[in-house]
Amino acid sequence: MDVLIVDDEKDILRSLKTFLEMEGYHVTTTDNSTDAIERFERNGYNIVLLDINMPEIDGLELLERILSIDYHTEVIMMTGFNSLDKVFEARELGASEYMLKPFDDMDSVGEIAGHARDRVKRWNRAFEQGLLESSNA
Amino acid sequence: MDKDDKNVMYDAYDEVASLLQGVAHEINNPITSIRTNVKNIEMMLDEFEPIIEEYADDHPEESIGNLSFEEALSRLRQSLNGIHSASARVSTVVENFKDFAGSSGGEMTEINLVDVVESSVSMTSYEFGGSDIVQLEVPNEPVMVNANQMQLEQVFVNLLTNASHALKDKYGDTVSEQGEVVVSMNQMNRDGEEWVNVIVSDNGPGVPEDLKDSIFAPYITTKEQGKGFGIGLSKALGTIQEHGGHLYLHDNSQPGAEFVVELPINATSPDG
Repeated sequence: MDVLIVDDEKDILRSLKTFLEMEGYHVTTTDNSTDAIERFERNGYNIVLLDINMPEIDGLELLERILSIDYHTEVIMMTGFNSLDKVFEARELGASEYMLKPFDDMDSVGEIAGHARDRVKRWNRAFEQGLLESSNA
Repeated sequence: MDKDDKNVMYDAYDEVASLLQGVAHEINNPITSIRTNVKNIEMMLDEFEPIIEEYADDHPEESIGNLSFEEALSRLRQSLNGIHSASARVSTVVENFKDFAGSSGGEMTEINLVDVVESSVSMTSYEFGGSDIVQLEVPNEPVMVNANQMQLEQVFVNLLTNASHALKDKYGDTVSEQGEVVVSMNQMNRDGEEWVNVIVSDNGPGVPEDLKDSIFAPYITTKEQGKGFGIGLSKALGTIQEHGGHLYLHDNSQPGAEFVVELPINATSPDG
């Protein structure tokens, strides 16, 4: 399962990358919005952890652009309490989930990522099954 | 106080609130990093521990300084717990300040005044160096008042902060030994209505005689330059009056200062 983490805080990128890699994900990180879009266009990712307050191109615009490339991407917004209102807007735009910084409990971070991974797997299976059935029809 | 004075006062508080919000936001990211890194170390330690234990069994003569491998592993987990609980404490302080710095607007709801007072004491514990200078004497059961929680907390935080500054002025380095603040809460009946008073008293230098009549006016301060610009008590008085209560300096013969907040208790009616 491929994960892209987008946050302008390098310490958070490093520590979250390590955590998710120990949980079994393949993780790429970037602290730059433009780079995030370029990577996404090039590689595609199943799950994106996206800080809602990014400089240059903010988190909500990034969310829209990512989903316009691949609407099925599981985008999890990371936000501080100050930006909770933006999270509701992100939900309207298609974000799957949110995580509130600072993370009270890393196990819940793992659970949220795990649920996103399970959704991706389920939809992939359904898609493959649908293709299989339509080809046998 | 005229309208212009009030506007200047609230503008100043808005600036402080905005500053506190910004500080809270800036602290969140490093706290996030700390917690994630602690979790990573814990997870790796879970993997390394059996390997280290096997090595220790095979090399009983080896140690880390004066610690056996078993003890070192135990101390390592304790250190991680220490980091985690310290970051939780920082988060709590940040959360309290975010609540404190939140909008001064908001609804009046039924709240437990005991919780408000306890929260305010907790928020200001750093002002007293974390020591046990503040004695809290509050009821075990709830005391319900109709109020804006954040505004009330601002009042008590202001009174406690003033008390801490007064104690530091009088006692300096010996404040933790000699300083005393008592926050007590009592209920009383006045003309058939139930009231609660919260008394914040300290054994500091007290309010100078020539300022006692004007202590609640804006820009009156007993503090040295740079330590508050004298709008806290004025705003506190306005807040309590808006809540239908009273705030006054009780002029008693004891050394120090005694501020009294009186609020009407929610009337409970079987008819709702």
